[in-house]
Amino acid sequence: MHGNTPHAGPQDGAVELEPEERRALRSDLAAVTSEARALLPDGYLIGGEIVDGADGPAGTVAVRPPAGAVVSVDLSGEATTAELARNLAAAAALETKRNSGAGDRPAR
Amino acid sequence: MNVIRVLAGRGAGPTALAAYDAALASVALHDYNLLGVSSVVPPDARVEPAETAPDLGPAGNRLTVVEARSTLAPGERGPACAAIGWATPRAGAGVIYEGSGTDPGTTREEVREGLEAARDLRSDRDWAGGEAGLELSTAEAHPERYVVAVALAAFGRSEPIG
Repeated sequence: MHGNTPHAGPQDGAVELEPEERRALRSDLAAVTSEARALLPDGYLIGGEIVDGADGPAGTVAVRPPAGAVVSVDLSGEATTAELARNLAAAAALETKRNSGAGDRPAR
Repeated sequence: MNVIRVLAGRGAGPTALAAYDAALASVALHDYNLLGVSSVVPPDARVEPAETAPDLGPAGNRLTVVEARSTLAPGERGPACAAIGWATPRAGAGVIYEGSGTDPGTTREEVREGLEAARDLRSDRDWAGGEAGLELSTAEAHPERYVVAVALAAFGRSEPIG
């Protein structure tokens, strides 16, 4: 099983994808996405990403602000979903502020 | 059809096709005939990531998908990476982009860039008020077996093939 024996390599046949772990991660991802969306005004595109790697699934919430580059936060460590959402929203707002003006780009 | 399920799987086997079949089995899509389509999300559809597919109809039926696949031969350098990303606007049709490769970061960026270009191309829609997401599957290389990573967006339920 991939998640429990990450160095054993894949076996023949279907490989279990740690469904409980992924479900929990997806739930956290949705919570951070939703809370960040509530903190930000219109114009910010927010999306959740799950990367299923050798060490198990990992989640990221990414925000494309109306100006500037994508900012993101990884769902790891001890931070709560509320803290992650606040940090993400603040980073996205700062990115917009830094890049607004002549380099403005339309929100997508 | 109003649900598009995004599924990420992986598998291994003695041949490339066997590994692909195993990867499809890991998300319960191995008994359907998959019909690939390009990447538009109908306006009335919603995109939902899922661990495995529910019962989508009888084995042998046709199932519409957008698919990303990456295959590694025995001993080949990896990991195999396959990703599906999507963006749906506040109203109107959305887009699904697929990507594959052997580097998770590069594969993810390929899909992100594709989606950005797709949104630019469809600037008549309010993307910021919609939804977006990405699922990426990886499969570690194996010295003796083929491995496959797949990511699929499965449209609705299956239909009889003939």
